[in-house]
Amino acid sequence: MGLLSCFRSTVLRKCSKGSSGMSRFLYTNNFQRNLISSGGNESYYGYFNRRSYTSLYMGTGTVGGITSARIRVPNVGCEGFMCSSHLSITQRNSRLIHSTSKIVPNSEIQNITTEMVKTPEVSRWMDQVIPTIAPCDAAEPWQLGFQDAATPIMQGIIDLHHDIFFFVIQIGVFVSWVLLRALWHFRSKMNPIPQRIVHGTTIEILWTIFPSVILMFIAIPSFALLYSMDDIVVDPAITIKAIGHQWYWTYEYSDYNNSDEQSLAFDSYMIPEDDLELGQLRLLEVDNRVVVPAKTHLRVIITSADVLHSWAVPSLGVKCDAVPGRLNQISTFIQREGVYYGQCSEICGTNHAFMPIVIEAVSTKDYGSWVSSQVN
Amino acid sequence: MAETADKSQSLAEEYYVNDKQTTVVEKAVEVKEVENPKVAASEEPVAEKTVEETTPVAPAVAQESSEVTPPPAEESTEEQSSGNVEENSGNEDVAEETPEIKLETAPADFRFPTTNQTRHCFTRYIEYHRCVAAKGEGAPECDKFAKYYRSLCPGEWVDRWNEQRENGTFPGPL
Repeated sequence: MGLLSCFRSTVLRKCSKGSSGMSRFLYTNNFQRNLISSGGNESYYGYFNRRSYTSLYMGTGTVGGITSARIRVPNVGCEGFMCSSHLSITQRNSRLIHSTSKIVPNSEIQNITTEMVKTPEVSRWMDQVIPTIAPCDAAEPWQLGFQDAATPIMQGIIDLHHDIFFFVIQIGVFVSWVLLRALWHFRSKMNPIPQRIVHGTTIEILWTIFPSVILMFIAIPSFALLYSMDDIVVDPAITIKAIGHQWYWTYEYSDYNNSDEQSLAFDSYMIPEDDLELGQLRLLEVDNRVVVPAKTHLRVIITSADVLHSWAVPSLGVKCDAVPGRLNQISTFIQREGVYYGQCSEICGTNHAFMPIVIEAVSTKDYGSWVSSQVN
Repeated sequence: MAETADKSQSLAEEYYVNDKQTTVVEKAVEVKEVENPKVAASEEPVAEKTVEETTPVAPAVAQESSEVTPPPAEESTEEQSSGNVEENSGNEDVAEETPEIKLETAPADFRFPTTNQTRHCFTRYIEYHRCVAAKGEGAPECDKFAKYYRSLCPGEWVDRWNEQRENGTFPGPL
């Protein structure tokens, strides 16, 4: 991995030279890059098009661009206070959504979570000042709770957890109270001779029926959410194949092939800690990101070439084992544009901790221009 | 062949011109960084230069974008239709079309409703080769099946199966 990582980092270092402009808030010109833009030479993916992606037309050096919108977003993870402020606003917005949401069937989850995209006025004003900073969904330091949801499934998981946790706290307090009361009232000072036979039919019936009812009320929304995850009613628009290797991920987009030899496939290696730039996240950044369109039904087919891996992205609420010789399918629908981080979640050897997953959700136009730049 | 060669040369020439422009931009940025310590002052001229650089390319790109992007009404109708997809729906474009890329893939198959899609990939591959055997190589009806198995099957699997088919050791019923 060392030699190949050096090569990848060299490519990334060259890519950073293509930056243009200077941010008013970030006192350096290395952060703002044109991820997907019409100016082909400065495109983030243009450089990788020549070296990293195994494309049929690798050597031509052509970089196509369709959209005229020049999107300038940070290439790296959360940086400075701006992204943190944006994240906090997103969290606040997410909490507002959660306060009124309930566990509903799959078709209604989308209606509820589409409000996730709406942002308050403050954030809208900030977006005008900094229109190019995308939300970066990675775990905050020492984060204990969930990351912000980007899919209806993850929003459902968060709501289910909060609802069940309420019952769990109540049951825990009640059972602790009963236990402590029994310890107190039946201590040896008050009862030197213990009772040998104690039985009560009524309380036996009560503490059998009530837990059953509680479990039923927990199971109904849980099963509803579980079976909505396996929904295959909607035909997907894009199929992505994630193939696990020791110790990196390979991604294939084969919807745009005209023959078996032609393929949009690339490897996704972690950027080593020595090559990280300021603001990039340790153990999470990769050299080639998975680019998907937002607000589109996706199918991700996950398999492995050598040992077991697990493809997990917390913000999307997906975790699926990569088994060699088996194709596992997950469906997802990303609600908002952004960069989402994940990691391999099945122990797979020495470098299990060093094969992250980065998904970048962009608009449909930008996705089209990205595919054009790769397939050409 | 000659036409494609000419196109590639012209594209390469454009690429080299872009390279020179970027080098010039970098030099200008460096000089301004040394001269002007204030960040706000140095940002605006750089932004202006980037705008100036993009202006010669903008009209062509604008034309392309105008051609590519359909009206928003169509987008909204497509989104609504995607929300109301029925069980027996075939291929539907969830998003807009581009002149080169069409956002469509293999549809969901109710023979394989579970998470395990290994047999789905295998079955699509067999269907394609049965279609080729029945209707001949290059038949237009078989392109659909070819797209399906290419979307679902990893490249290594397809290469292995192609090799087995050539050797006559493919285990499936062709």
